[in-house]
Amino acid sequence: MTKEQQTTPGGITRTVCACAFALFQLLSAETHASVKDQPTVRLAVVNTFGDNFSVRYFNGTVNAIAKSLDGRRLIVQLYNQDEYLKAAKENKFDLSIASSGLTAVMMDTLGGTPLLTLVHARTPNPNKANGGVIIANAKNGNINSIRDLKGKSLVVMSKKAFAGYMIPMHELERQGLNPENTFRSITEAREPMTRLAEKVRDNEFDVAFLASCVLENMEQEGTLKPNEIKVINPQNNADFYCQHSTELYPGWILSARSSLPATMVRKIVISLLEMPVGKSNGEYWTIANDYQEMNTLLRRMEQREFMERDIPWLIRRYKYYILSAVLFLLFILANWMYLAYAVCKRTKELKDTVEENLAFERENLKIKDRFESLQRVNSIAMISTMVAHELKQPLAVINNYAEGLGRRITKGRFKTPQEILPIIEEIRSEGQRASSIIDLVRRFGKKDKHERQTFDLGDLTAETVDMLIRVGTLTTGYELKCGKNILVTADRLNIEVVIINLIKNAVEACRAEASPMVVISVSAKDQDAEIIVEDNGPEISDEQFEKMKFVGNSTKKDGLGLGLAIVHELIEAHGGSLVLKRKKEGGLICVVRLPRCEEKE
Amino acid sequence: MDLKQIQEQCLVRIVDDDEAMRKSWNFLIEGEGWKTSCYAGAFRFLEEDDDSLPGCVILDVRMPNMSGIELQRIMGIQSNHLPIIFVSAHGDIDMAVQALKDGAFDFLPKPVSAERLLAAIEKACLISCELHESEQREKAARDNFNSLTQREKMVARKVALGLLNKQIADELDISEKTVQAHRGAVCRKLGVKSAVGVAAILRIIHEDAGDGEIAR
Repeated sequence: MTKEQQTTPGGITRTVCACAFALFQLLSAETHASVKDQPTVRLAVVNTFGDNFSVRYFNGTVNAIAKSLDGRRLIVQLYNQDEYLKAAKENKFDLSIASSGLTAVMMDTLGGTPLLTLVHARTPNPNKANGGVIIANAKNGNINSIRDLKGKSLVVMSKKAFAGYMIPMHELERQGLNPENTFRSITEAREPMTRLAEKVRDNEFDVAFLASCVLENMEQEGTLKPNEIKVINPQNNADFYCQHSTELYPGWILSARSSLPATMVRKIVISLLEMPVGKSNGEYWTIANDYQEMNTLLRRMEQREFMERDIPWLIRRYKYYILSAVLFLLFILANWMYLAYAVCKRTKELKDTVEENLAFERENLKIKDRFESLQRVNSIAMISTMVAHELKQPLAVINNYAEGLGRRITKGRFKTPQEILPIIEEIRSEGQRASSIIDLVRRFGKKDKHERQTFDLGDLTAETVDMLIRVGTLTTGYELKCGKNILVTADRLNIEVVIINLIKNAVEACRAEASPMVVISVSAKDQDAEIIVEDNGPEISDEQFEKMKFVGNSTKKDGLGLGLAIVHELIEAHGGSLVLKRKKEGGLICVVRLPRCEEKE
Repeated sequence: MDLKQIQEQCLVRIVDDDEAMRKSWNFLIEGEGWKTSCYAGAFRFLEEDDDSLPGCVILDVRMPNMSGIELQRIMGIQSNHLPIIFVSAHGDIDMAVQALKDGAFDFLPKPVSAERLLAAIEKACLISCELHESEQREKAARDNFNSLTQREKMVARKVALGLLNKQIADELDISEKTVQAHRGAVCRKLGVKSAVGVAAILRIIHEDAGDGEIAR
């Protein structure tokens, strides 16, 4: 069979190993006159055995098909496995003769109907007419069982061959070997199986997989001597008279694609069933009715994958993976979008904040302009309660003494006027106390900043705390820790205002707590005197804490908004510092530092 | 009871943390003939004061450590019934109302007029004295009653109900002569002359014949 014999018009048989049969040549010659107008029927034959076998093997069949075509032209093409499936996909044939496995794959993915299966004298059971043969060189003493195949070199026709690859691999798997890594190497020869046997005989490879009966055919033909090759894992089956190493499956299958008219299918089937039994091999077409074994195998080997992976097939096969991948991508996308959105939003927020801060700065400047006067007004308001109380006290005392004196004098209780003197002294001292309070207020009103004196910060703090208790400001629990002899040079009144403010703030912050507690401590730290006022109020959010640092922005509902601002301003005027810290468990710590002086001037 | 008697019995307590204030109260109140005692704070008062003496307490509302209001609550818990006159520099109406509801005798705003304070002291001390006297009377009556024997107590309860010796003898299942002897002992020990006197004593100490019956 050579290329010269390809006289088929239209150049349909461009496939690499495509050949036309001698008979077809004849047939085509007979009807040559009307070749061009005649519809054709295209038959694909998978060339497993080698050209010679194939031609001889299917000669009668092709003949019978050609006769039943009502004058239509029959075009026969030989394909190897890969080309066969490709041709099926491109609808290049209407009828095909191929191994049961290949046919099943083709039908599974591309459609078609199995019509008949071929049996011959050696394989009379249509359901068990095909198997795999694992062969090694008869002289190779290393290979005697399937286990011995490990690490050997294997040659096969194609990894898509049914009997020539899948069936033997399945057998390996059945015997507990992993088909993937059993062999040292697997070579796809893409040559007919007869060549594989020769390669093993010639020691080019250790092992080959063949379809059943190939060996017998070769021996019959004389291309192989019986003692040159040995069969590994030989099996015995009734109704099967070829050497084989595996389970058995249906043999060659004639299948029809939907492109072939149904009437023609009927005629072809009748014609083939009526075909006489072949003289040399005893072959004839019949009907297989058990494909189950084969389907199981195909599923096991997942060899359906060897169909060309077009997109719909991929989608069908991998739909869940694809679905998950798509979902994952969607998730990534959503995530990315969310991030982008979040970044965008945050950027805007930051921008807003910056603008807000700028606006705040401006506002701040305005506040600062008014600050001096505000400070005074506010502080005076705050201190007036204290002053009123402080004044009431000496006035009440004076009042009591005056009353008491009057009454005693009336009753003649005094024997000498000298006895009255200590009382007068008391009255005068209280009068001084009252006037010093008034002085204090007046000085404050005059905003006489620079009148500084040196005093003990601990004493002042203790006095202030005492005063706040009596004024009714320090209503919470409190703890006072005052170091001794902590001297500062400052405006006493200003510092008192600072202390008042800090304590007032602390009390207001923790007043609602179950056991409100304000801790005040005065100590010497390095070159500074330090006043720490601490409360156990609620936790302070970042936002609140930020706000606290801005002047004139109180977080308290009824608070004197400028409390901390006053403190800050006054402390700075004295060259000191104010630091605010949040406590983890809630509450605020205010740390005021003032420069300390060593001794009284 | 005249003022002199009251002043002799009573002690005016002054509780204020401000020393000058304390001293001036003392000067004023002492000058009126009262005995006084000054305390610098609520704790000092609780620790040092002798509450068996009648009188009153002049209490500053705002004090460090323990306020006057808190001290009032503690005195209530301790069954110290001395009348309290609050003085406060703050016109806190709510606080004043609460203090008065809790049994304060008076609530005076600072600066306190001497007239008003002294009047309040006088009134409070009178009440305290009377309370003290009745307590004393009750105590004496109870002491006397408790000096009776069981049998005499029984007879005393019957006498207080106005029963005759014969009736008492029947009820207690003893001779009339014995009842007569018990009645004499009861009158002598309780320091009374008649059945009416016995009944008065039993009333003072919240004893009556009915209870006696049940007790027996």
